[in-house]
Amino acid sequence: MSVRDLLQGKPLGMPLHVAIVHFPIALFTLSVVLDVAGFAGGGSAVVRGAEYTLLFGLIGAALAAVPGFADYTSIRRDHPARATATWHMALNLTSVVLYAVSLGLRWGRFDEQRAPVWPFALSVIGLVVMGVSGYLGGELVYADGIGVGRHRRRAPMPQRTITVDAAAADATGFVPIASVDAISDGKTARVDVGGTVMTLVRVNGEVCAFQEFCTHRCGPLSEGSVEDGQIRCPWHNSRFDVRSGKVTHGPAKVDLKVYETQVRDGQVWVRAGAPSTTSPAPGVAAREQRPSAGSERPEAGTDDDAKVHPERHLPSTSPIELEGRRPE
Amino acid sequence: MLKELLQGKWLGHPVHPALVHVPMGLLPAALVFDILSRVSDSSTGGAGAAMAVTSFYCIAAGLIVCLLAAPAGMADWLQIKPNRPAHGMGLWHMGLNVLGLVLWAVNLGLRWNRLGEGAHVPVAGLVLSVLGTGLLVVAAYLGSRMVFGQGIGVARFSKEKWKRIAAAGGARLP
Repeated sequence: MSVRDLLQGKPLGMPLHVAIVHFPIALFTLSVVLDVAGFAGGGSAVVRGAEYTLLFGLIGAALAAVPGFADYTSIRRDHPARATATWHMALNLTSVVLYAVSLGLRWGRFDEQRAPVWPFALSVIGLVVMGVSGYLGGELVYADGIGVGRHRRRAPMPQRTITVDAAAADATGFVPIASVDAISDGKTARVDVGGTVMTLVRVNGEVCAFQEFCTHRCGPLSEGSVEDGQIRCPWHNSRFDVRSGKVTHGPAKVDLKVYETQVRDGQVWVRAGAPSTTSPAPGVAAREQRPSAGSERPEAGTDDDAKVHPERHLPSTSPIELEGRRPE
Repeated sequence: MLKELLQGKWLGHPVHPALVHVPMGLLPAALVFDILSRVSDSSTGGAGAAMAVTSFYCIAAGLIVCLLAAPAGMADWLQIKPNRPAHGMGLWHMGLNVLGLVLWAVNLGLRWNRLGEGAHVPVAGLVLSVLGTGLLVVAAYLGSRMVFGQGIGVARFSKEKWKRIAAAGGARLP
């Protein structure tokens, strides 16, 4: 287990940052409340109390920042929540600076009966900034699932999405992705082929590809954990067979789309077009290589495909175009 | 409706975890200030007395927010299906928190009339702070496992946003 794993709280089963952050939040808030109480005539004890809570709040903030930064470095550069996380960090640093100046300005003035005005003003601004930042922190966890289920993951998470243009497809519709060695057992890769986003895993030497988004609430399967030939979604623990995409444990109820993979000379190739719901049967494989005009041979589970991608059954020249993902 | 309000639909994410930051920080901080007050000069106006006063306000403020956090937590818990592991975890979490709340309230009551004096925190108060903090930490840990281990509240209100991202990524939707 690396230092980063420890800072991220993996042995604890929850992000360390989240556990520690209660202290600076509560103490900074209390400090402002005590300042107000001091103005209302609470006396020097209250004023001193405000200083002490500020001091301990700052210590807590420093302790919270380190694991927080370890969490930040795990967020994929192209993650939708990356910008929120950056703002969260910047606002936190800003509020800490404001509090530190507030404390510095009043330190040692223990006999005051009420808080000095400018430091108090700085504390109040710091509180507002911290409030916004705290809200963003809540968004990161609850709206974007940052850090959720991460402790189950042993291998590092994908740092970026491997993005490949659909035009890179060869005659059979496969595109080259990465070397097989890049996807070691237990590790995942997040791949975008012309807009189709998939997770790649390697189980018992075999590379499997399936849709990135869990069919429960669209959680990131590339951040999940692989166990017994199944991928576990980090958010709510739905599990799917990596080969067939079939859901093995809820709360998800819908199977994943799976995509065909090939290994050619140590390189992994995937085909984003014409995904199958199960391992391709001979008849199905033949059909995918010869897209024919208009013949509808619905297989199990493609009805919802038709709803999502109504153009799927139209004749076209290449399997990739079946997905209709060409930029308009 | 009240349940949606308590669950934080207006905020876009659960309210209970946001509110619990306050007691979760202040109540253990009260314990720290209690300890410090007992090792410091406790004459009137001394550092020890200031610590005791600070500790008092930590407990009082913490408890007030607890009373707000509890119904929000209940609204969240009612959302969990009884067959899920998080349902039982939530029940324990609630029970330990309620017990802790009682101990902290008694703790506050003990100190209520002693605030003006330069006295340090009474031993009984310190003991209750230790017990109360212990219960809180265990309950809070359970809470964190509910979120980070079971995903309670995760993507509850952001489902539509993620569905859009998933659809754009060619995925089969829930």
